[in-house]
Amino acid sequence: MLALCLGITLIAFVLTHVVPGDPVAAALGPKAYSYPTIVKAYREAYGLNEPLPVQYAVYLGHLLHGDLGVSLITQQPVATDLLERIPASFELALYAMIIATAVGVPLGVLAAVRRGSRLDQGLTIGSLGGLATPSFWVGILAIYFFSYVLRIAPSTGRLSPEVFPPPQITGLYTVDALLAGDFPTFLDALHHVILPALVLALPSGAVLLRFTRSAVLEVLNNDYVTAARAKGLPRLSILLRYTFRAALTSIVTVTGLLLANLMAGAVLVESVFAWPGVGLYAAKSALDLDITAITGVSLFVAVVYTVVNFAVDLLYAWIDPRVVLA
Amino acid sequence: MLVVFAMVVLTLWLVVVIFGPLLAPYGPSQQSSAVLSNPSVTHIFGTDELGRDELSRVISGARISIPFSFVIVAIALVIGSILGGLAGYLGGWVDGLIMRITDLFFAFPAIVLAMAIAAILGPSLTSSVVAVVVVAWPNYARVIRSLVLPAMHSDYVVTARLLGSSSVRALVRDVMPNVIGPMVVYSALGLGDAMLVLAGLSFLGLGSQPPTAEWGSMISDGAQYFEQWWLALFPGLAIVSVVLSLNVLGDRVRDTLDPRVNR
Amino acid sequence: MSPTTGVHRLAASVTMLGLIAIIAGCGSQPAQSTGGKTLVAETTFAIDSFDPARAASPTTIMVDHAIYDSLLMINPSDLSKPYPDLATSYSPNAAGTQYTFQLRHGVKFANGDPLTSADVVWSLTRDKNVGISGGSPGAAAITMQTLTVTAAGPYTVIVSSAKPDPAIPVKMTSNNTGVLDSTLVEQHGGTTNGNDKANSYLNGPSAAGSGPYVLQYVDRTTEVILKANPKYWGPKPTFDTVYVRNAPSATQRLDVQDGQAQLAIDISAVDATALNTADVNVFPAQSDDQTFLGMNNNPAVSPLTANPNFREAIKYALDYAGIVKLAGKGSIEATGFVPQGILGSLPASNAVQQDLSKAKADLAMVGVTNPTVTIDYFNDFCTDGLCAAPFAEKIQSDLQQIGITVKLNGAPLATLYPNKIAIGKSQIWLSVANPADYPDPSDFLGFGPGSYQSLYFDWMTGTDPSADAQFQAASSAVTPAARASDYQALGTAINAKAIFVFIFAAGKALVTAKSVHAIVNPYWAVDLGLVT
Repeated sequence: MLALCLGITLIAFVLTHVVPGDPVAAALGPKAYSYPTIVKAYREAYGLNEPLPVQYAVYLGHLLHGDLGVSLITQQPVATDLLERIPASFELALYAMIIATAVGVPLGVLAAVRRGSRLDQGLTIGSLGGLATPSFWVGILAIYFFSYVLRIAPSTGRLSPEVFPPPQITGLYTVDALLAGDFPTFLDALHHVILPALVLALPSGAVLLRFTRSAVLEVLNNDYVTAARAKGLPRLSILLRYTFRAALTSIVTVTGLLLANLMAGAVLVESVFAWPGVGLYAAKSALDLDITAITGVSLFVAVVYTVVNFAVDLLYAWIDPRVVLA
Repeated sequence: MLVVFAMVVLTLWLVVVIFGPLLAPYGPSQQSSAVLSNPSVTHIFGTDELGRDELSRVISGARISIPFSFVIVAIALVIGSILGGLAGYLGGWVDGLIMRITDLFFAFPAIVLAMAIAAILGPSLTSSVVAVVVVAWPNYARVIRSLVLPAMHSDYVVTARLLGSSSVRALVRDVMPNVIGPMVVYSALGLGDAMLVLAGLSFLGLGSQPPTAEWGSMISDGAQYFEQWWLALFPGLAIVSVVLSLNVLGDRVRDTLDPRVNR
Repeated sequence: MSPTTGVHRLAASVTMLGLIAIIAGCGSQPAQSTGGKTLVAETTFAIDSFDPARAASPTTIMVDHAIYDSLLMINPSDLSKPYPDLATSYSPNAAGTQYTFQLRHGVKFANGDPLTSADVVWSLTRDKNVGISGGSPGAAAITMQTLTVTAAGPYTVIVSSAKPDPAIPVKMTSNNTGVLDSTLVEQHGGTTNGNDKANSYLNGPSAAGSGPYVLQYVDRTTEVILKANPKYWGPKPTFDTVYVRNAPSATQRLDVQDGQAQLAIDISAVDATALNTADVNVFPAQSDDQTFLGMNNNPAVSPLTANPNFREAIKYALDYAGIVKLAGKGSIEATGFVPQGILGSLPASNAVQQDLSKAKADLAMVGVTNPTVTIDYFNDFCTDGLCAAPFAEKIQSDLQQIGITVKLNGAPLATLYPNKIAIGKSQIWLSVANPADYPDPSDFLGFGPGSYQSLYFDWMTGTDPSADAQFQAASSAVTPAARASDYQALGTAINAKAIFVFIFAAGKALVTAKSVHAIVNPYWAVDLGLVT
């Protein structure tokens, strides 16, 4: 984990410095950049006048104290920037995950049970299609159709104008609204998150469907299921008793992968829906060569990825006690 | 049936890539006064804000997206095979080091890393290709290693070694055939992924630059025009048709190679 | 269940709790609505800092204007004659080096502190020093760098400069000159010496201004809430609460049409054109953000553009009418380096007309077959809803008509500007909607010979003595009449040189619901305090 953080900060630092570019130009804009005194002062204020190894050492020193540095563009601490955006991204990813699971798993079981049928073929094509579709394109079409033609879904933002964010507990508007007992705000927040979450869920749902299908198929072909069948147990009961675990294991296994997918997909989906999350921040920082912001986002994502993978291992061990944790 | 359909689609795109300029009714950058016109007989896919024919641009875009995705997969495959092969073949600290490096790459979401690289190299088609290669090779390295590793311990390689035959020769003679099949599948699927990431980078403005017609950037341009839905629709359909066909083919070949799933 | 799995489950729960703790953001709560009239304004957020000394992005500039008062304010109908604001009157000395401002009596900050000359001196001095050493984008420093501010009594402020500066009154309208409550801000880390730490205080709910609104809630990604300032000295604003919400152009358009929002601040030219005007009011206005081509005069960098005939050919090959149409409502063709409407601009009759035969004749004189040039532009930088790429493509196609092949090189500002343009290596630079700071011709002197923009294109002092003289005359003229004629003469000289070809001034379209009335301002979009 420590080595990972070191590696990431090092990659980000080296990358942003190997190819000449000047983040100060993006921060100041052309006019102020033409004043050497201002450029010099700006560099000094952000420690950019120091040699790269010194900058890196300073950065690591601050990192030990949980300080991710100050963004050149927003002039705010990167940690603050991230904290402002994480709840939005997490809420979006959470709903995408719920949708993907709610749709992908049952359909995967269905496809496995009806293997070879027209339904199975249709679901297979559908899941391949879900993986083959660029999320930003689906997002644009969804906005066109639902927000512009039908006018039934908002195309951007987390709440309607004049609806206040609920008192902040988790930062997830839907959850906070429920905790505050504010049902109208909950509905409004849900209304806003649904469309981007659906778009984001598409590839993950497809992956889940395929994983579930093959996991269930594998179990259905196991000897004990064949034996159970021979004993004349009803199909449904076999399905519930023997395949549930298999499906659960498959879901847990792909959760980690999917979370990475969701974070990756979020960059594009957040850009399309102007969803104020980490993905949009990442895209903007990359364009502005905002070194501290890019490094901060990378660290955050890596930490989440590692923690989630660890959690997945734990859950996996809990579901399937045969697995011994290394 | 589905596979045949996918083959037909891919063949058609291959024809478009090869004979594109002969098929396109207009030049991809040819501007006209007919700006933002609806799909019609003269402009089957309509025209954009500069009066350029959308069909001609989709055709021209095929000659960017498809060949460059091939290039990406080819380079990533070579790098991944060499490093993954070394890791699996040599084992020990070399394996450890290479795997830790791939871990590092996996810790970044592919699109974020690709974005940073493309931004730093300066947005262009070349930088986006480099960026996608950088994020793609660890996948191939992992797969190759996982294919080489069991083969190294398989009876015939061990036997060949015991008999004094060069292990490199054993690798080539006995391991390679086991590796090639899965790699073909993996590359077909990787081709689709590469195309999607490449389009995503262009969509964010980090890939090919105007006036090059590239599907991702055409969608990005078209997204500004709500009334002119055709500007975003057609390039997206083009991407889906290619990637879906590749996935269908890759899926089918995998099923054939892995009879366990195909039962 | 074995104890091990219990431990694992515990560990998993702790991990999840930890994740949630990380995720739970910290931030202030918006207070519940207290009723009263509300206004919803939508804009694409560009937020840096709400500290007037640090603000350089459109959203913060607009919001700061509702929170902070300056000495004077822009008069949209005559940009050279600012309206009174905190200052009720002002007068220059005979030499034009000193302006004396008389402050309004009885002005209070939002916390009830009285506003006096000490606050003005403190704020303006802070501007200058925070800009130079406080890590701010520097706009305040550029505006203030040649000026010194002193008090002469509790209600008199003197702004002086070493050389005569007739732009002082106009500079005092800049958003960066907003006056802060010096006592309050000092309590929160504010200083005038450059070690200022008040940024975070001013970025949250704060009461350091004397304007019609106070900053009540800030979520930098979604929404900023302004509350009417009960201590405001001027007429009470119509709306008690203003929500400034982040929304892309397309959403602004849908929301203002559906009545979800009353103001759409920065709708793109494309969306403005598609609006149904039966539902909304569109207030188009010309901004002072001009689009221009800079062509390199250095033969070592670009032999082609170093040839005046070649530059002339490009100037006459452009389809100005087509480009202005592409830029959308409110845009007008440029006549020179000073945007129309500002003192010293050239009249509309000076606008260049496309003349392909003249362009071809000029090109023939260059005598190069198949000339090829590269046009650089920023591909990550859009102003006034305009991005450079379509204009670059349009120009590419225009130049193709006379036989010039154009390669387009779009790149982010962070790499293109420092690595190519600012070191004089760009052959042709297309700068779209270059933002103006204040409506005085001196803001645009960067285009004069030897000045910063010109240096990038190798137009040094000494290459053209008559233009140098005109530059000197324009920058030192004091009386409005002399300034007008000197700036016009300089404009004609810059146009004749054709190192810079000014194409158009971008339009700004403010779209409002039928229920409200607002006046578009070319510098800060709209005065939120004056919306009725």
